[in-house]
Amino acid sequence: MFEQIVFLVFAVFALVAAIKVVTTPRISHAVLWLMSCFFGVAVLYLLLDSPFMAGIQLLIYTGGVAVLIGVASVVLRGAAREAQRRVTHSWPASIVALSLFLLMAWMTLELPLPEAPQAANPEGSLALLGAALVDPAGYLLPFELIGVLLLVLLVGALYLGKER
Amino acid sequence: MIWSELLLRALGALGMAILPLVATPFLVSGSRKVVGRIQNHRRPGGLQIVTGPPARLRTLAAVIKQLSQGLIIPHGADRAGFVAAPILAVALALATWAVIPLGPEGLQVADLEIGVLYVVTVSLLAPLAVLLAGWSSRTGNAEDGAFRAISHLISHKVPLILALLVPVMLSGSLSLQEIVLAQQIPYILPVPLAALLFLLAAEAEVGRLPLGGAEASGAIATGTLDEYSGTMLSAFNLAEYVNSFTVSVLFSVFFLGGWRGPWLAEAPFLGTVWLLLKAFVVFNLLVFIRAALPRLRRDQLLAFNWTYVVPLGMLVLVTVALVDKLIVTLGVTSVGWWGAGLLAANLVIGLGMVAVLVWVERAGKVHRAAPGMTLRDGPRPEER
Repeated sequence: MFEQIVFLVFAVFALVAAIKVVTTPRISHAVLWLMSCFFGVAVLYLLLDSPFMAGIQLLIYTGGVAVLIGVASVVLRGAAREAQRRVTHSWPASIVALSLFLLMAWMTLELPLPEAPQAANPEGSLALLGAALVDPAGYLLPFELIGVLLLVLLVGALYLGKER
Repeated sequence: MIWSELLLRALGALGMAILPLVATPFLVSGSRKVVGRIQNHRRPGGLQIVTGPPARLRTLAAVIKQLSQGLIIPHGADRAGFVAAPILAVALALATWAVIPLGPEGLQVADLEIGVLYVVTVSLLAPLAVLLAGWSSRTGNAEDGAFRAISHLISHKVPLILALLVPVMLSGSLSLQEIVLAQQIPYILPVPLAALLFLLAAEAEVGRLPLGGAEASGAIATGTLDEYSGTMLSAFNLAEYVNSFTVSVLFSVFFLGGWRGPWLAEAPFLGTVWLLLKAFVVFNLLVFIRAALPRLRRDQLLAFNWTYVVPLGMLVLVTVALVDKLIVTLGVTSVGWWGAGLLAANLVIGLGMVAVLVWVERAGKVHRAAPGMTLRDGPRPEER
């Protein structure tokens, strides 16, 4: 009962924050709302008994993405200072957004949802996750590929950022 | 969940959050005393002009004064962000304490399975408070300062996380309690280099003097906190001190065996005493370092970090992994030999590093400015 109330509160909080991200005029406030949204989602993960997902959510999204957006807008100071820019292409944009939303809604509805939890949540599930990531029969290949992808991104960013 | 248990947990969390807050004024006055001794000024004015209650009570008076100062929000600042930044800074400083194990059983707000991840996440969010502060001030100095502070903070995150991975690897767990339990010998003995890296990176992170280039009120026009005054400035200072104490506690947990110590079987509460004692020693070490060494320039710090500290961290991580695996494969079961093997590997790397530093220094390559640094970061040495 208690957990469900907390769940609902944070679900509403995350949704409100998500709406605020796109409606607030200042980019600095948008970043703050984005963080709040990520935080709300992390709490939801926590309530769903997956602390690891919650930690990763906070680490990557709040700690990584939100800080990155913040740094980017400090570097590009003009963008941060500027008041709300007049949106000129609102009709095409809304059509694109609406079709994307419909596509995602359709995919979500079509996806067969499991009735019961896929697996019990055993103690030491973190160790199981770690083992699965480096197991050749498990997710070793995707794991290594992601590593290579990130390395390529890093080298690419260095190349682009190099002073010429 | 039962309400009484919930209440108990809430009280525990509150107590845990209050502990560092109460400790901070004493740590401030204590560290000032130590620095005063080192720098040879023992009391204000140098004369016996202080009358009234013992000087120690001045700390209390200072706390009351700081708390009773007003909130001044500069005209033109982004109000929400400006007020949120100090709150965020203090909240993040206290958040780490939720996972610190104070004793063997139950003396911990939450024994998270992902404890180390939590610590790293909380410390990764710290730049956000800085960013918010600089950003919402909307003045040039503060924004410049925020950018400076963030490049500084993020750069030192890398060796910090690399160093933290070593105890995680040795103990095979991300839970802080498990890491303490796994330390039959304190990890500083087998892996002193990782401990050194952690201390170095953490010192830079919390912005204490020799490595704290992010905020330098004396050297560069303050920085992020340019527009802050009164209680909100005190909040930032409080967060800084709490952070400084927190890294001391974390160092004790990861490398000094946490609450481990003698006579624990008879009196479990001694664990807390041991932990705080260890943390206090580490804190004092940080104060000594701060009092004894001059500040490094920011570009020197970043260049040193990226050219030496980060590669060293990677090297230590890989070496410890290999040597640990090798020792286990050889079938060594005694903790002593395992520690000796790791220590030998660490010493070899450490001496190699010293040799590299000496060679670089002889070759005269040290005083170069970091690549990519511009005049905005201060004149390069050869241009002075």
